[in-house]
Amino acid sequence: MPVLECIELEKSYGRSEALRGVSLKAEGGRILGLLGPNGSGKTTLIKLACGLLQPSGGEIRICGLAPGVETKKIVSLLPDRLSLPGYMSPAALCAMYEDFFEDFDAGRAERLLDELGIDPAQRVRRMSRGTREKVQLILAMSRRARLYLLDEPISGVDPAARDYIISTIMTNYAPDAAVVLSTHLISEAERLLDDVVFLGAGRVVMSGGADELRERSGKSVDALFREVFKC
Amino acid sequence: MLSRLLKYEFRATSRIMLCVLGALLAIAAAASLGMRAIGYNRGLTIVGAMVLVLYFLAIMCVGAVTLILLVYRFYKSLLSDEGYLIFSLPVGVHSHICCKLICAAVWMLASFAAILLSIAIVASSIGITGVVLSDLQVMFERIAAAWSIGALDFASFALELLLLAELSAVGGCLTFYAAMSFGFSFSEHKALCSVLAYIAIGILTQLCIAALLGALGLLFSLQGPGFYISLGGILNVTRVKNLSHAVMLGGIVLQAAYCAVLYAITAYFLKRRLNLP
Amino acid sequence: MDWQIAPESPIYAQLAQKLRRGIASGLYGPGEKLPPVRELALEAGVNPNTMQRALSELEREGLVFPQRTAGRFVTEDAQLISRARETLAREETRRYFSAMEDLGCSAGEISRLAAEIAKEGHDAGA
Repeated sequence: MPVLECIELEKSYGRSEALRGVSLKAEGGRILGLLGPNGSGKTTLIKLACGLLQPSGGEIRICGLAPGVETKKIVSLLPDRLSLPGYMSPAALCAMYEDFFEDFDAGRAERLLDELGIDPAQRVRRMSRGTREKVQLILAMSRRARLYLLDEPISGVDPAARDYIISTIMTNYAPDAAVVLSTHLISEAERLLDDVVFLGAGRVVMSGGADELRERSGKSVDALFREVFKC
Repeated sequence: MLSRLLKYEFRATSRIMLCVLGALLAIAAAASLGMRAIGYNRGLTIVGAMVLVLYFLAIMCVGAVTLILLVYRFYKSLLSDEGYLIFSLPVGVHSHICCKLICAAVWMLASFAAILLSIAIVASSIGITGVVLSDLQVMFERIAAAWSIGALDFASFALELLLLAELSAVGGCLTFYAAMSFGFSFSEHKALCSVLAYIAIGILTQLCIAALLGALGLLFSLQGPGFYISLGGILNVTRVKNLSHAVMLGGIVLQAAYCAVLYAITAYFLKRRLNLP
Repeated sequence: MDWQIAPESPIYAQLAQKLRRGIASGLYGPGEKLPPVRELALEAGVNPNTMQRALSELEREGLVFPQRTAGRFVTEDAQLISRARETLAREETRRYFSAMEDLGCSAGEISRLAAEIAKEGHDAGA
């Protein structure tokens, strides 16, 4: 069973349609790239998978279940915004994650914080933006989830941090876990991807295995993207 | 899960609340000293009066801070960027709302108790407390003797009153929650929609109350004179007690229903119409 | 090993090629145990599945064989390795010749240049 499955998924806000007839699958042990220009519906799709939005039509399933309390136990979200409460420290946040998520690996989180030289006792609001993003990433990746949803994890981050984030994602690979990664920085991320979905104006414009697309088009995924989404 | 949420919610709010309540009691202590200072000499009288004014300001502050805090917590935790974290926790929407509500109810009760305590502290300085209490005691004893109302009746009435008061506070809280949940479901002008929703709920509530009272008045006006005569006849102590219980319970039920409606609105908009930034 | 992966063509194919070179050049000696997939993937900066696919191809060619729980090993078949080396060398030579022809060099020029450069390298080494 695919970890994440969308069947003719639709979402509209009033009159504007954010997603139309989106069907895709994310399998365990594979990294899926959700690629598209700004406003193409990537974040909407991710929010639907988290249960933060309700679909207007179609279905979305995580390990066969509709998004809800049960799926939140096996889904780890890294939002594209800073969502950590400012008055808490990384240590307090780890304790909170441990409290609420059975699959949280506190040891791994501590190790990663240590690796990056982040003071676990310092309150989040005193940290720089980059450090806050790293803490958020560490918390998300320290969960042994079935589905990782990473919304623009490398945008707005310096190149060294990007490399670190990409290698963290790769070393977190687990054979039964699927990673769905949305980004518009494709050239940086394409080596990471097993499968690719091009999302344009809420529709799936193209999809397939990354190497398959390279073979078929003779181009990199980045070049293919520029071609498909030429202004 | 709810208990865990409550743990974190209290942790987030207790620092400010305990500070504010502590400050109130400290100022009350100062004010009680200030009261004694009045009349001593000119300088101390001015200081004493200022401290007294400060005390009254402190009471208003406590009310304001409590209200602002519980509204702010709801917004920050559930409707702002933090919502991405909070709503990804494997916890139902009802747990989230109940957590905020319980925390708010506790702090409102605590503020109320602190204010009463501060009044007692200030009043103790004037030495009127003893006189007031003994006078009250005499009054109650006389009423009890005349109308054979026992301590039990007073106690149950007090409890009903307390329950009604707490439910009203919860209702006030829920009005904010419902208005915000509604307002923030829009993509733009979230704050404006919330304010408008709050006003609209207020107006609707007033209309409902007016309609209810109007219906009641109509009911009474339709009764013939015989009704009032019989009413006078049956008015004995037991019936009055029962009537007052009925009125209180009726009020509690209505207030609870009001809370339930607002809760349902809040839950609906948070579950189905959540629109995080 | 310097992986230098270009995103324009299938990555698994490039990885397979790099691994073949590694084996042909002796970087991964005959019978030697290869690092685990995850480690190789991290070194190359690619997805482990892609590295896995590259290794599967090498398995199909017989250059690499898996041993149940111990991991993957380079073949001990010296003939197979030298044949792979020969194939890679030919490819490299063809590429070289094609580049020289683009410059307009004749076959004679190519031989002369090859001898000179080889001598230079030999002198530098000595």
